[in-house]
Amino acid sequence: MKTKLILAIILIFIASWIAGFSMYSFLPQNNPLQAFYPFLKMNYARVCHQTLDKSFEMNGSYFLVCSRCTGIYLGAFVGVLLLTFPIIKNLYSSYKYFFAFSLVLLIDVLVNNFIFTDYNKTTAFFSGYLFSFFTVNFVILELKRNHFFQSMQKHI
Amino acid sequence: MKNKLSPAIVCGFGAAVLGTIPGVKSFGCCLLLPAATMLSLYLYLRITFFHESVTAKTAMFIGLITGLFSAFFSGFFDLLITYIFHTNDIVFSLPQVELLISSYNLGDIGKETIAILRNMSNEITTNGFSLTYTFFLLFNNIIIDSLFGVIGGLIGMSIFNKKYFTKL
Repeated sequence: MKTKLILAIILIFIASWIAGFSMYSFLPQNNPLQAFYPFLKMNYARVCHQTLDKSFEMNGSYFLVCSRCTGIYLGAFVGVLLLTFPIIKNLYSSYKYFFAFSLVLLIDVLVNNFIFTDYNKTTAFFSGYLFSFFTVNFVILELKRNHFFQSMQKHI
Repeated sequence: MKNKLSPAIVCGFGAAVLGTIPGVKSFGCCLLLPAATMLSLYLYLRITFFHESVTAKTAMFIGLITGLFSAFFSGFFDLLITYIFHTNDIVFSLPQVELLISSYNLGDIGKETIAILRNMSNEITTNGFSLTYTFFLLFNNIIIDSLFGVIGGLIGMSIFNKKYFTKL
């Protein structure tokens, strides 16, 4: 039960992170949170290049991270969500999946940046999504095997 | 402790240098720091001759210190470049940001934000240094880098324990 609680905390954290970079596409223009835009942009700039050509646009505003990062964070969210409320049990825990999709991500980075002149946001999004989905599954199941969550329970 | 500190310094410095080079960040994106932490963990294992499997506590600690060193070095590089050129992204983007915030009619909170940004921009263009900017930069770097460092540590732990310490 406590494992689920820890996963739920991680899930809330990832959801807040996603809300942070996407909220300017959904907020009304006179919302006071709009005033924090420059500071939030600076915050996400630490982990993303934020190139507009490579970012998704929604309702006239660009996300504060690129399409690949959007995919990575969404993949992590869905991965943790499925582990918190397991509909499919341990299907994606393999080490091989993790390496396969790391390779897919690497190929997409190389192809999108060096071979094609037009950046493909869709492939960047899905390669990031699949990579982080399988990484999260692999890491969390490894942590479970190493009794990480049991040791964390003592601190909660 | 020394076994953990030296890989963290090397990899934290490497991540900070790579993050500063224009263009490299567009390839590494948010995976640059976790990758640096994984390398740091690998170097730690090499130093200890793969003596025993990595615990989550060790992985998180190495991730945290790699992140902190990266935050410190990248902050230092950013401040140094800002001091030399008397400009940075804040100064460049100020006119667009001012326009954007003014168009939202946010009242006092909007005016306050613009005042803070103008103050930062003026200090940077005249002195090459702004205390407010330094505070924002370091605070931001420390939080984000530590977090991504810890994540990288946990990913690295899962990979290396699986690869080197799992009996087939």
